[in-house]
Amino acid sequence: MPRATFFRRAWLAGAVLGLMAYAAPAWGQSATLRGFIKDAADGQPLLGVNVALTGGGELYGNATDTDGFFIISRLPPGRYAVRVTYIGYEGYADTLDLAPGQFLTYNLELSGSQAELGEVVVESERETAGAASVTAGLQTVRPEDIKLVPAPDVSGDLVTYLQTLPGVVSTGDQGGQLFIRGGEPTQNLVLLDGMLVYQPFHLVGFYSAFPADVISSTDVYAGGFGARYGGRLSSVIDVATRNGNKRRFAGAVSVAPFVSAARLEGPIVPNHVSLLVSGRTSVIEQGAAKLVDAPLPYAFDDQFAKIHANLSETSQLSISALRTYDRGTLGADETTADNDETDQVVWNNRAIGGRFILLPTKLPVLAEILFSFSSVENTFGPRGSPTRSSATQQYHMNANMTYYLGQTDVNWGLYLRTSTLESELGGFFQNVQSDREFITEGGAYLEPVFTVGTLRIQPGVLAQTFPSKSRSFFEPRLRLIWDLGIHRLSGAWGLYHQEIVGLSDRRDAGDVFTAWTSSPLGQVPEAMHVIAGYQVHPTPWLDFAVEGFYKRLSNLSVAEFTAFPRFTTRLQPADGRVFGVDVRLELSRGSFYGFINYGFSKVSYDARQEAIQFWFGRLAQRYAPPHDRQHQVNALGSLRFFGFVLNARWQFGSGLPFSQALGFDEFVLLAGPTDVLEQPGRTRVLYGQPYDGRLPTYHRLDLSLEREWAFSRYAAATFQAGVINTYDRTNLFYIDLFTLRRLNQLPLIPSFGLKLELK
Amino acid sequence: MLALALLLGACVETVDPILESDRDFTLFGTLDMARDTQYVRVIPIRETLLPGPAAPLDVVFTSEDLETGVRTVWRDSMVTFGNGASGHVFYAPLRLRAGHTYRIELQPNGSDVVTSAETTVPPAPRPTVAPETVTGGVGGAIGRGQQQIRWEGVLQQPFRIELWYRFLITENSDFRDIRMPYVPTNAYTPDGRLQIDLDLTKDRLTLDTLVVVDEAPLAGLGVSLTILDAAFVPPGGRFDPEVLVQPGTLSNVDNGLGFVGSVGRFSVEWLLADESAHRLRYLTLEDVFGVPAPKVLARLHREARSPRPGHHSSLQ
Repeated sequence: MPRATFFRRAWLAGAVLGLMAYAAPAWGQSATLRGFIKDAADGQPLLGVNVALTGGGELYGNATDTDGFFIISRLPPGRYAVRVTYIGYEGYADTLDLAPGQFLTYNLELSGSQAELGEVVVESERETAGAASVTAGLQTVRPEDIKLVPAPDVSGDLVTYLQTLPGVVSTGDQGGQLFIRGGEPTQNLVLLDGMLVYQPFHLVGFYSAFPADVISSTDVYAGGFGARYGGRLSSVIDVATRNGNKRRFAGAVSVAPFVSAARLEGPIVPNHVSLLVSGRTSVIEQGAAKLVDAPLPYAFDDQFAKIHANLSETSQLSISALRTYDRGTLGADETTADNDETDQVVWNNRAIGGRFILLPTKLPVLAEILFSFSSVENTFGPRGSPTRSSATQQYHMNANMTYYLGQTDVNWGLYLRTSTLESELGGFFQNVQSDREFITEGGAYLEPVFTVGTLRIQPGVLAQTFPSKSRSFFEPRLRLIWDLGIHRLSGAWGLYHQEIVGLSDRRDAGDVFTAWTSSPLGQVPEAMHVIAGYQVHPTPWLDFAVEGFYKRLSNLSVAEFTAFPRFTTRLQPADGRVFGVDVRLELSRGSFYGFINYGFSKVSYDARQEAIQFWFGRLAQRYAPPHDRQHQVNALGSLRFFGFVLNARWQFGSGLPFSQALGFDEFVLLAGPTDVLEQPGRTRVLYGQPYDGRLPTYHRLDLSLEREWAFSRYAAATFQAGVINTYDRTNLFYIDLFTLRRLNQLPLIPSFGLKLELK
Repeated sequence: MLALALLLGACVETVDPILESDRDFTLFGTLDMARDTQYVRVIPIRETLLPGPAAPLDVVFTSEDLETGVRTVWRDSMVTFGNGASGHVFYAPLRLRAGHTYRIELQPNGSDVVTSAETTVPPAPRPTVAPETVTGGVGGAIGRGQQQIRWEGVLQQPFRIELWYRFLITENSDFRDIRMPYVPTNAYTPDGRLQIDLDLTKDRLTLDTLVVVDEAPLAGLGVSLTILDAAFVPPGGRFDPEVLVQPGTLSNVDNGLGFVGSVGRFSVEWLLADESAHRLRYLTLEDVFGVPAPKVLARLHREARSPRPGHHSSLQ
């Protein structure tokens, strides 16, 4: 690192520490109130509970996080009236005397409000929750949101909601690939209880490793994420699961045309230790394939388990484990679906990890220690004899600390990771033949949050080092939120690097095989994000948000354009840029809830392949990659009537780019004097400009009607009927240029589901 | 307008992956001075990956020597290659002349579109063979010998330089040529001439392992240049198929794709002086036949009624 750069960065770090020191109170003279707030019914932490203290003419307050944790520090000693409120729950009031230097742990359990139970829709209990509450790229998704999206499943799945977000492009009903604001799927950091999940989205687009029934909340950063996150270029999907019921056993079983699911939870040590176990398995070949009368050779399953323990008043431990499995052939037809020679892709994720949180007795601190193991195995090729395989493992440990210093929170943390990356590619795939690498990385971040009036400033810096690569990165970040009455302005900026990248060939939509490797062209991919947003909440039932974004991408590796009809080619360097805007409108009035959003984005890559200049006459070729969906509209409506819930969702996406061709011929290599009588030549594809064509637009209407019948306070049955692709639009998945075969998305599919639940 | 465009687009379900183009043919071939008949592969550009059943092409294929105006009509042939595939190869008896430009044209009957390519055969360079210098070579040792050949008018780096040694197999009066690749070093003189420095001693030692030099008299030696036409230059100087496969790369075909190049072949041949040959431990024609070598060669050529290229072996 140049000396001047080092001193400049050191100066920046010193300035941040100085600001922290300025903000730090002499907390020996002040008091701190903190604690966990749970649901009295099942011991679940409650997110977004408001805790307010009134004393000495001042009002102090905070809201609980996903652990149900709250803290109010720098309180002058004295008497306070405490009010705890949460929509749908009985309020709580108390009076407290806080002594100088006292750290009072105040754990509470709230009971559901009988008057409102069963009818209430929990409103924005978190400032970033809700379809139009995106703040500096962050949107929080709650299980209630997920269940509004019609899907062939009674319980819902996170991925169906993610697909309604503007700026999120999916490959549709098949493929399980999500592109977020121009980023590649392998540039998304997906975490489950802090564990990395490499390839979490199932082959069938309605499902992921995250069924709504096990989710507590999900933070989706479409960009501009803070210093706590690193190692990915594009986005973060941070899923927190809920704990099992600590009071009694509960569970559910459900069946639907695509999937069957079961969930069991209950206390191992009542009120202290709980277990949650969930499993799903696809029944597509037995169910949905018969409904559409077409081969759908997909199978997947996933299992999740979590043990949560309240170790003491001030500490908790949870251990989570996940396994997923996917197998299928994209684009199969009657002739290929059952053919052993047909290529199929198989992958499975495994992850296990622990999370320990602790409130030190005499410090206004929340400490979190995470440790995990994650792996993914991926194969591609004929059944039983795959031609390519990739296996990736990661051990991860990190410690996160948050100091609560009144108007300032200081987050910092350390992490250590070691990854093993193995590939056996049976040939030449994206510059990699076979490989085995070990990569160790360490890092630290510092991210204070200053609150000045209604302005929150969150500067941060993440330092990462890869000793085996002799590389280090210094990534500054900044997030800003400014509340102005009913208006909110927000923004984010940051630099990002991704040393470990996933290589896949986007030219072949029918191949979702991914090989993980360290940056293959010796240059580490890099991104810079800028986000600026505005929200307004003019009435209690209406929200509007608009957010613009820009991402600059450097040092990407993309597959070379080759005229040979194959998908195993060399890589070429590329840079990219993404810009766009999301517009969201959310309406919640009476028994109706709905939102409509529009996303515009433009993604372009500049590739620098040697041959490009000869074919196109330019040193670099600018093109729109195959996930450049420029216009998207998502509309969702949910209406409650007579105990029924009618959900409707319409989605529209402009056409994705694809490469057209002038035709095909044979290429004869003339390497000097050549006898053309002896050279048959090799078949060649005469591509036009890369990705210069556009597929037809994609649009679809999904409907579901759901009714729950409660047999008792703890037992219920839910019946769902629905239609996917209601007006039977023939949406194109991809067109196989080599065979001119058209592969369509799913046609109209009626769906029926039943769920039996013990609550 | 945007909304309208999107709305109209929303009704479209079809897509055509094949672009409109007026390029209907791909041509590949090298016209070669070494051949009496020239061949060019013609590939109709098609809309499917795999070619359909073979059918005659209803086209007129001609070549024209732009210097002389001589026009030649080529004929189609369906060739089955070693891998079982078949393809159209057009051919015509045509002897190329150095420095001449040839225009190839292919025109479908009933169409105005002409697919064409032009190639200029490299002009003939002029060789100068310096007398050999051979020292030593007495008492059974092989002498130390060098010889220099200079070519004037070589406009680009030759694709290949070969030298050959010609021996007479006395049992059947047949010639046998031993060919060797030559890698030039500091190939061009300051006045722009291609200079070839032969190490006669090294060649002699190499030949010792290949022919019974003691029994077969040396009947000549020579140097040949293979020169590609000026347009026959791959990007980066390498014939990399991953690069050349890109349409438009190394292409000179108008209204089509591919490349038609030409190859010039030029050579010079001479005899070593008997004394030099003896110092290099070669048997000479005079040693065997008792008359000077030119007379022996003239007689052998008369018997064969034509210059005999000999029986070739190559050292690659």
